[in-house]
Amino acid sequence: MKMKELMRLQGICKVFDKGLDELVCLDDINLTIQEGEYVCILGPSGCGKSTLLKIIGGIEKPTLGSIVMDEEVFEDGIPKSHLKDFGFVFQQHNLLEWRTVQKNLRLNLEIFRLKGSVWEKRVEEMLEIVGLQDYANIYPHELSGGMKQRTGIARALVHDPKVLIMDQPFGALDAITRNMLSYEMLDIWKKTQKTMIMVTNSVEEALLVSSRILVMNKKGEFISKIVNDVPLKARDEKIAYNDRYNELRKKLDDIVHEIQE
Amino acid sequence: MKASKIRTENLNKVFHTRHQDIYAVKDANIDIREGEFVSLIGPSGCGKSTIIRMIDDIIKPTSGSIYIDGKEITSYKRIPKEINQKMGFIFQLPNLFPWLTVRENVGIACRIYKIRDEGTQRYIDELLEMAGLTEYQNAYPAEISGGVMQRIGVIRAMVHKPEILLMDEPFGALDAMTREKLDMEILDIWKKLGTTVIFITHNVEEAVLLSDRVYVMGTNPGRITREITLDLERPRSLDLLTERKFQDYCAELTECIGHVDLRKVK
Amino acid sequence: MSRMLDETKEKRIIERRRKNRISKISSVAMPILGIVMLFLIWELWVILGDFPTWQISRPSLIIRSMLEDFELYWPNIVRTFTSILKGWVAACLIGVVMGALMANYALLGTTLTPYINLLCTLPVITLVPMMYVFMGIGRDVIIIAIILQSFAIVTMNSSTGFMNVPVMRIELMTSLRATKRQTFFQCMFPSAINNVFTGMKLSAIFATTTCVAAEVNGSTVGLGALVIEAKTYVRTDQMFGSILFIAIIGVFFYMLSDALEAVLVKWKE
Repeated sequence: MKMKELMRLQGICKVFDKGLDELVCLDDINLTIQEGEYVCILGPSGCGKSTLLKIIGGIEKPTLGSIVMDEEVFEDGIPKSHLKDFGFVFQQHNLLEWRTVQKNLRLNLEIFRLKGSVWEKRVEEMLEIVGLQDYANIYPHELSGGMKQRTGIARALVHDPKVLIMDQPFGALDAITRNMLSYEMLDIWKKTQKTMIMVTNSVEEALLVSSRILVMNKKGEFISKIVNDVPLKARDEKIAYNDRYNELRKKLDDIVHEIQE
Repeated sequence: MKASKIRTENLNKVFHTRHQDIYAVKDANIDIREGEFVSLIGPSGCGKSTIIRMIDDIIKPTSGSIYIDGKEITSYKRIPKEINQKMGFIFQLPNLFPWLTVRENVGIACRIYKIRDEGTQRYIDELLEMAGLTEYQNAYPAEISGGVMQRIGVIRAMVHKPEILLMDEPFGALDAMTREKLDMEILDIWKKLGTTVIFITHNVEEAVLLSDRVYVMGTNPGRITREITLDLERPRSLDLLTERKFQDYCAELTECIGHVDLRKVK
Repeated sequence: MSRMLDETKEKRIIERRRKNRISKISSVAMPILGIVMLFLIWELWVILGDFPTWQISRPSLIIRSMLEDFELYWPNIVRTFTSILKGWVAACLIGVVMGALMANYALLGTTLTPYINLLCTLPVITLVPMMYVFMGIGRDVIIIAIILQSFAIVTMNSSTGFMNVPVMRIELMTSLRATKRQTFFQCMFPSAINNVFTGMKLSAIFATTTCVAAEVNGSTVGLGALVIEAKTYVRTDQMFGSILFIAIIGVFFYMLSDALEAVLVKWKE
């Protein structure tokens, strides 16, 4: 299947000021994202994965390097005009407590000034995709953790972005809910066919949902890029019995443990 | 068969709030033998954290009895010192006091229990070394990372040489890699010291990897739904994760826990 | 480090040094600039508006009086300063002790809370004339008034702090079967110390204003009294001079609390 290139990062570097000293967070990152991919980035805490996501999504500006998107070259990070090409899901749901579920989704439409009945319909559609259509008028504090995160996902999709960016979206949930939501995420990807970039610290989660896995080390460098060829049909509750899954899992576990040393 | 170390009989805990009565724990019957490693697993709100708090006299049960080494403790207003000192509690978060150094945090049980002998100071040295924290002992918690802090929480509970370790989702807040590392370290400690361990987790693989037996709990009301003995060889290692028998147990437990209703409003 | 980052390192270092210098200078310069501007505007406004001296004074005259007439001010500065000091220290001690008792003994807490809240907002100064009648003109009234007005805020902030210690920390103490005393001194107090200091700083403000107001009302010594005396002799420059000295004392006590906090609280929560 021929894949179209969606965006390309070239020589991305990010340096943070710490008083008179500096902290090099990302150094010379080169990455190509194809349309329709589901990319998972694995790595230890504090290695720069979140910063990279923020640069991709236009929330942070890189110190050096360029981003190529739709034949346009951006030297100073993603410009404001292109922010609506991205949808962001954070670890903490970040929902506005004083707005109902559907009004939280409307927030994104308001910010990007998207008006009209087509967009209004999308609010309903996205809620259906995440299975919360009956909860449109409920307030966040009445929802469980997993439901809040699903609202966050629906919100990130409502303005029809090109890329969905997720920063450890299930990290704050208990393992059982997390597992269930991973399956739902795979489903959502199949339905929406959107390009997805997700940071996670769970090898199993990465193997369940992704089409490609990138491993980052403590210094913010990519040390491994693996294509996840576990067949889609095998990605269900019985995935642990799949041979390819176990092969890749062992391989990734070894890589990850090496980084930890 | 080894002696019963911890036993609960029809243990109940009800929390009364303005709107409703919450049955956090209903008729829990647990029996843990000396030296066993037992896990309590279940979704959020199933009462697992409440049970171990009742065992360590942090919360008082509404009804039912708890026996430690065969002695009933529920009739006491406050359990006797000797029994309390048999137990060490490890919290979900490191829970360190930011105004004390690492060493002072580790030794806090000594301060409260008023244990002042030299032997204990040497034991603290040993514990710090085992956890790889000797060079950090005079640092303050603010200068230390999360995974390292949780190690401090673990050895803090061990300083007074308790016979029982109660662990409340100790590694739940850490990233998967750090968690696996610490899981192995806990097994090591358990093997060396022969302590009885109650381990609470919501991670099925962790429970199967570490324990001899697993109690599965459900919510609404919080209760024990199943008990499963794990017939896996010791010493356990991370290689086990890809073995068939291991995965079978995980599948069984996952089915027991059932599908957390993701569509249920709080 | 990659070649690109290496090549641009020099530039980044220079930029960072520049930013650092600017922020250091401006954090000192801006407040001073602010005051200077304020005084200039004040001075010009009075001069241009041609206001008579018995109505309002100008910074140049005020500062001159503060320097030239210093011998007149000094005993009053000492008197006001020591009154505030005595009253404030007593208020802090009483406040913290009450906060501790109210947090640890629920019944006491619920009983006293409405009265503490009331005392925070009640203007004790309205009671001062009555107090003079009962206790006679004298310093005691001033110090008692300061204590009455200032301790409640310390109590309120301290008890809030003690009652908001993370539950897990209390659970740790409970799991170690700590006594109430051990739990308070080794866990609750250090956890709440920032709240205690906030209460102390706010109480310093109350202490200063109450002291001056009480002096205005019936004392012959002290900066408050000096304000009244200066008014009588239509020396507006001395009036404002006294007010400025009062402000300096207030700021001093605030900074003293900050310094004390920096010395005692060396950790980050």
